[in-house]
Amino acid sequence: MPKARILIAEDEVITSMDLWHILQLWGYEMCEQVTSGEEAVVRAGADRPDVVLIDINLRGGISGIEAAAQITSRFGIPIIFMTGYSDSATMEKASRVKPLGYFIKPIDFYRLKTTIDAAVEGRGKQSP
Amino acid sequence: MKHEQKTREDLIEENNALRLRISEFENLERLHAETEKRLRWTEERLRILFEFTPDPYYLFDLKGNFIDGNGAAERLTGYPRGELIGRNFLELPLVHDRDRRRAADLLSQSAQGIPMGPDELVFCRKDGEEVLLQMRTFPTQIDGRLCVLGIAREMPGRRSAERQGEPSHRELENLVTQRTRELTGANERLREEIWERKAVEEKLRESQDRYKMLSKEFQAILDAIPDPLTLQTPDMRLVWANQGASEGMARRGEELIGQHCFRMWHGRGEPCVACPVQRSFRSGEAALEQVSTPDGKIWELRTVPIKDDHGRTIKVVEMARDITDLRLSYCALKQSLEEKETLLRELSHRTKNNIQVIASLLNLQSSTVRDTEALRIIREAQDRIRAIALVHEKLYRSHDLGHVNLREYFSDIAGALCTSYQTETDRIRLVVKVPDFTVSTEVAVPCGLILNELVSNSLKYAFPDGGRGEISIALSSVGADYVELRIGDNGVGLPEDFEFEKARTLGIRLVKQLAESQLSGRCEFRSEPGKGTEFVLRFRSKR
Repeated sequence: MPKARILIAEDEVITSMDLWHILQLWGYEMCEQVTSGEEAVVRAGADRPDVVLIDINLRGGISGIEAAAQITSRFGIPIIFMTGYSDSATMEKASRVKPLGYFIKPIDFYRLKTTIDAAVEGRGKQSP
Repeated sequence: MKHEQKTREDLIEENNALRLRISEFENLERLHAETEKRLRWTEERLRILFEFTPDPYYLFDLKGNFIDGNGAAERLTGYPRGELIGRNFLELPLVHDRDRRRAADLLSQSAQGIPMGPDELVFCRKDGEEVLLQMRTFPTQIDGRLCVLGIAREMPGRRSAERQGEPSHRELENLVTQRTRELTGANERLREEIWERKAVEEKLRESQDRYKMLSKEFQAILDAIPDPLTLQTPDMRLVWANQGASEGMARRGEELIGQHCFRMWHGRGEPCVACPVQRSFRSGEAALEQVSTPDGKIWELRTVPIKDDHGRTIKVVEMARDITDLRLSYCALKQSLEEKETLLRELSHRTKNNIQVIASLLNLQSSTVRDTEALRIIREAQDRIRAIALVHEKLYRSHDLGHVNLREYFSDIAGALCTSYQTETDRIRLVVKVPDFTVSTEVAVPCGLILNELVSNSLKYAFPDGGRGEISIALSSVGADYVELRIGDNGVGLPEDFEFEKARTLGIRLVKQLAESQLSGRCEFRSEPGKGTEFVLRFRSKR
C-alpha cells in the first residue's frame, strides 16, 4: 500500500521545516511546503495529498480557513488545522470546514501522528 | 372748833352750796364728756372722710414737709404715708423734674394765704409710672399752725392729650375718674398684652429672618452647583430651578416657572420616553437615566421624590449632569485599555511563537546529531524552552494577561513531558492535585522549570526497566501568602549517595537555584529506597 502523502501549509518556515522533518522521519510522503493560502490550493490540486496540515493565519490573499474550504470542496481532501490562536470566533469559523483536527501550537507531534493515521486508515491508505 | 361754832343753818347752806358746786361740776363733766365724745366722733368722721375720699389729699407745712396724706394719695403715688411724713416733697422724686419748680410755686403761694390751682402736675409713682394730676392747694390752719392742703385729682388719659379742659360737673368728674381708673387698668392689661405680643412678634421676626437667611444660603449653595437642578410637579411643570438649570435652558429663572420640563429642555411637546421624573412619580423612588440632547450632549439624570405626610409623591427633584466628557474619556480609556490588552496578547503570542521557533530550530538541529549525549542535552534544552513557552501560551489565553493558572500550566508541562518520554502508554500515570491557583509570570516560570526538571527526572530514573508507577504533583495554600508544592513519584527512590546540596547535574542545580534564590523558598528532598521520592517546596506566592 502506498504511504500517506501530507501537505504542510505554514508561513512560519522554521516551524514548518521542523514539522516536515519529523513527519518525513516517521515515514510519511511529504509534499513541498507552501506558505500561502493560494499556494496551498494549487499544491493540493497538483499533488493530491491524503491530508493537508494548514495554519489558520496564512499570509496572502486568502486565509487558511478559506484555502481549507476550497481544498475540501474542490478536491475532497481532509484538513487538519494548526494555529497559535484559540479564540472561540476563529474556532467557530474553522469548524465549518469540518476539519479532522484542530492543533494549537506548540504542536503535540504524537497526537498529530495519531490523528493523521486514523484519517488515512479510514481512507484505505497505509500508515507508515 | 370753828365747825362747832357754825350754826346748823350755816352748815345746811354750805352743804347746799357744795352740792350745787358738785352738781355744777357733774354737769360740766357730763358736758365735757359729751363734747369730747362729739369731738371724737367729728374727728373720726373727718378722718374717715379724709381717708376715703377718692381724691388724694396731702398736708404740708410751709416748708413743703409732708405732715399727712390720705389713702387715695397712697394709692395714687404708691408711697405709704409713713415713707413721706416728715420729708420734703422737693427732695423726693414724687413730682416730675419738669414740674417741681411749679409745684414749689404753688406751695409758697398758698403758704402766703392764697388758694392755688387747679394746676396740672406730673407725678412719678413709686413704680416709675407717670400720672397727670390736677392739683389745688389751699392755705389752712391746724391748731394755730399754718399748713398747706394739697388736693390732687388724677386726670384721665395720657398726659399731653388732656392738658386742656376741666370737667365741669363733680359727678361727671367722679365717673370720669372711675372710668379712667378702669381704663388705666385696661390699658395696663393691654400694655402687658402688647408687650407679650411684641415679644412674640420679635421672636417671629427673628425666626423669619433666620429662615430668610437660610433660604438665601441654600439658594446660593444650589446655584453654586453647576449641574442643572429643578423641582417638578406631577404634570412635569417646573416649580423651581437653580442657576445651572436656567443657564442650561438659556432662560431666566422666572421664565421657567410653570413651564413643562420637556418643552424647556428638549423643545418637545410631550414627555421623553425614558423620563425618570415620571418614573419617580409612579414608583415613589429615586431613579437614574441617561439621555442625550439634540446638541449631542449626554446627560445623567437623577430624580428624587419629595413626599407629603401621607407618603404621596408631590414633587420630584431632578438633577442633571453633563457626562459627555466623562463618557468620551471613558470610551477613550476603554478603547485604549482594549488596545493595550490586544497588544499584550499579541506580545504573548509572538513571544510564544518565537520560543516555538527556537524549539523547532533545536529540533531540526538534533536531526543532524548522532551523538546520544548531545541529543540528550538538546532534548533537555527543548523541554526547558517548552516550559517557558507554555507560560506565554497560558498568558495569551488568560483573562487578565498578567496571571497564569498553575493547575493548567503544570498539567501542560507534565503532560508534554510524559508524551515525549513515554514509549508505552499508561506505564506511568500522572496525578495532578493542583487547585485553580493563579500566580504572576515571575512566580510561574521558576515553578514551571522546577516541575520540568523533577518530572523529567522521575520519568527518566524512577521507573527503570519498564516499571509502572505514578508521578504526583500537588499544590496547597499555607496561610494567606504561602504555598507548598510537592512533586514526587513512587519509584525506586534516589540513589543512596544523592546529596541535594552537592548535586552536580544542571537539572538539580537549576531546581535549587530557582527554589531558593528566585522564589526565596525552602525546599528539601525526601527519599527512601524503593518507596519513591518527594520534593517539597514552600514559598511566598504573593509578592
